[in-house]
Amino acid sequence: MDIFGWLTDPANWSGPGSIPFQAGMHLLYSLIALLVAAVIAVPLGMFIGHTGKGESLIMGSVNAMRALPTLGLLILLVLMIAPVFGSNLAFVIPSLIVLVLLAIPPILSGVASGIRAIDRSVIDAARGMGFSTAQIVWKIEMPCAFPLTLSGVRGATLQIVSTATVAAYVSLDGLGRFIIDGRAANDYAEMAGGALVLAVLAVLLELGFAGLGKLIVSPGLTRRIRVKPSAQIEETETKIMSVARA
Amino acid sequence: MIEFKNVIKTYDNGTTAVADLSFTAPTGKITVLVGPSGCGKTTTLRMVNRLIEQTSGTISLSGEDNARLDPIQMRRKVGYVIQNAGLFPHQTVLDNVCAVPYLNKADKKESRARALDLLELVGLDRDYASRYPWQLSGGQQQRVGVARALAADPPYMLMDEPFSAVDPIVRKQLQAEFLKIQADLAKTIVMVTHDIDEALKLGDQIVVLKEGGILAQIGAPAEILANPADQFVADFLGESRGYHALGFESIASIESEITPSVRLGDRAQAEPGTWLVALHQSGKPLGWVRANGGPVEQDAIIAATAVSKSQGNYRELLDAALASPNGRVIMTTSDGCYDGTVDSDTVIRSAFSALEVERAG
Amino acid sequence: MRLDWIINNAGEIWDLTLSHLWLTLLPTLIGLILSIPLGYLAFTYRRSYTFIVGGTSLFYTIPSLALFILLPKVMGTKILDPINIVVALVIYTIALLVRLVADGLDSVSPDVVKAAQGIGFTRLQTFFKIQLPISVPAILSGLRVVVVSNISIVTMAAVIGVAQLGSLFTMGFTRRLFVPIVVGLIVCLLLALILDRLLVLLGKVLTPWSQKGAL
Repeated sequence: MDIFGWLTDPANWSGPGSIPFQAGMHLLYSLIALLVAAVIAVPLGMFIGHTGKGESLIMGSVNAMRALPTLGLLILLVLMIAPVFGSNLAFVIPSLIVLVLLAIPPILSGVASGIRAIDRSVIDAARGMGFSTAQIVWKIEMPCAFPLTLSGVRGATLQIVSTATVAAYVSLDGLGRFIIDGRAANDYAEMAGGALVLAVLAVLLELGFAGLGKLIVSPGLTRRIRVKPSAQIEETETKIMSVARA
Repeated sequence: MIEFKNVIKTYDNGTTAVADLSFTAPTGKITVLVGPSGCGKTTTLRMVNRLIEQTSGTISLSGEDNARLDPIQMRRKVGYVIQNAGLFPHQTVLDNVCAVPYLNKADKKESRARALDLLELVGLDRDYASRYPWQLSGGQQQRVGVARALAADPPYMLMDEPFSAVDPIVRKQLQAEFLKIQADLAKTIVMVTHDIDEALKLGDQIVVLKEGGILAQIGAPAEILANPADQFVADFLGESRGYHALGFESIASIESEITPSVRLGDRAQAEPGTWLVALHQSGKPLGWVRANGGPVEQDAIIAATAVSKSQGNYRELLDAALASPNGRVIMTTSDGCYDGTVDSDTVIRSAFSALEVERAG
Repeated sequence: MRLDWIINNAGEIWDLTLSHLWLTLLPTLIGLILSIPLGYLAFTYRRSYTFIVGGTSLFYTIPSLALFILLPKVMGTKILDPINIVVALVIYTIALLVRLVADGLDSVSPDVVKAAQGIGFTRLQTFFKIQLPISVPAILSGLRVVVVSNISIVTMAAVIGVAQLGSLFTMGFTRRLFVPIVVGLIVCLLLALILDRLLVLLGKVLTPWSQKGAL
């Protein structure tokens, strides 16, 4: 059976283990990991961005996460934690832990660098005008940091979706299942079918983020004037640093 | 008023930024802190709204010790304008101006209406309200910054080099417009600048600071120009000190003569070759013209700036005398009508005696 | 943990490391070489910038496993053929580097370029002797990211059976052994560290005019 046959086979579209099911599980796990990572990384990023302390922590964690082979980390954690849990949780928990760990650095970096990038005179003016610290953080720093925060979240999502695929190797449900199971059964159509759906999903998410950015980000922040070339390099480098890869 | 009593600011590493400073910034007037870099003028300014806390001494706002007030609430009553404006990039100009009123939970509609009025006051068209800071030039951003500081109608205003970040032409405009606004609003203002010309132009009271935060001299511009306290102040005032001083002496008492005049288009009733004051039909002087027996024509008039007796100063007189073809200055009344002329000798003699009086008194 | 496992399998570990290095460095090099003309195009013809940079970046969003599996269909190779990995990584490398090459070239002051042309440099000479060298820091910082990422991405191919350091992970999983997994992790991290430092050194050599600590 070729890939299109597999994709159009109705048996693959309903019931457990079907395309919608795995896609749904994939998104579910991704969403959970993203939310947990955000809950940890956003406040931490706000703190580091506002106070300027701990910036080396960010660079360190971003580089470490990029260099760490996620497959190895996944397998290591599963082997270590599985005896503790038994049942399905044996692979869900370690997988989620790895996903969360991978998502934290990009979000952290995005929030912190977004805040650091704000002109200091804006913050000074706000303080002098009578904004309290909380008001400065919520009404000024967070909104102005939003573009870079969003790009950090985008990178984190990319990372999570990609790694969740590999997590199928340790039995996690998701679109990776088609790849792993397909390999085991030597069914290229299944492997390729799963890979295609995954690729489409990833691109759709990316486009979704792009659209979200255009919709939500304040027009005051997205000006398209010629930024000083050196500043543009820094901006590009910041964006690259906030994207780790799986 | 804002009162400084024995205010000292020292840092942990031993440096003294401000050394025992005491002065009063009078209500409704502009007090300018001026001096070279490192003289502590910005530090002094930022101690008023407690962005920097003094090491010792008190700063009172209309009698209330600012150390006893809640800093956030106090700052909302003090307008704060900085170099580069510091506008919030993610908000429109209107939202920027309304920042403090919104913080104070004032009625939104009222605040926005008032903000639009303020934009007009600072010389910006209402269209600018929906634009974003990045779309504005430096001068326009600075105007918004001033409007924003005025939004909550604070009795006090602190301004840190508010006009330095713009080019000289825009700076002149902003300074002139600012003086007009202040004439209406009469806020108690403390301003910092490193530019002595700006200080002399804007200040009602000038505080000259030396490096290390030491008070060198305090007084009205005319006083300081006439009697600099020491060599430092004299040097700081610079080479055109005398010329600047002339800007502050009024000329109301100067003696003028009535030089014959002739209206545009009329025939001159004088010996050919004599200088006459050429007038517009309305009676306003246009310049000088030489009598030539025929009717006065526009091309023949040499344009001259006339000086108002009630509002002019010796600097304008001197300038006009130097620029005039015959060394005489055309004077006008306060509505701009011809009021005689003054010759350059009288100008110089009067100027010197005015300065002497200033120095003595 | 049984550390003698390492000694017993040293030969295999070495082979896997070599194959891993090959799978990482070859595509990085090819990708770098291809990124330069592409980046130059994007820089010179501003209208193509969004198209070229945006287009290549889109590939970056496709998860690596998906790309490893779909490429054989597109190229007509076998699944286990390492060439798929190489091509996939070339694509990722280009996706990251094209933008940096374009922005790096953009950072060269136009005055310098005009001066060069005024002296008599041809377009090609200006590019190789002036624009490219000045862009080196930007490109190099991207290269560091790319190399380290690629080391990690390559390990994923173990899931579809390609032999490299990632195979140590799958081996450890199927046999429930910790040692191979830890060895694999450590060797990957070491490779990342060593290659990163080498690149920094390379950067210093290529840009003798920059101040200490600039990179």
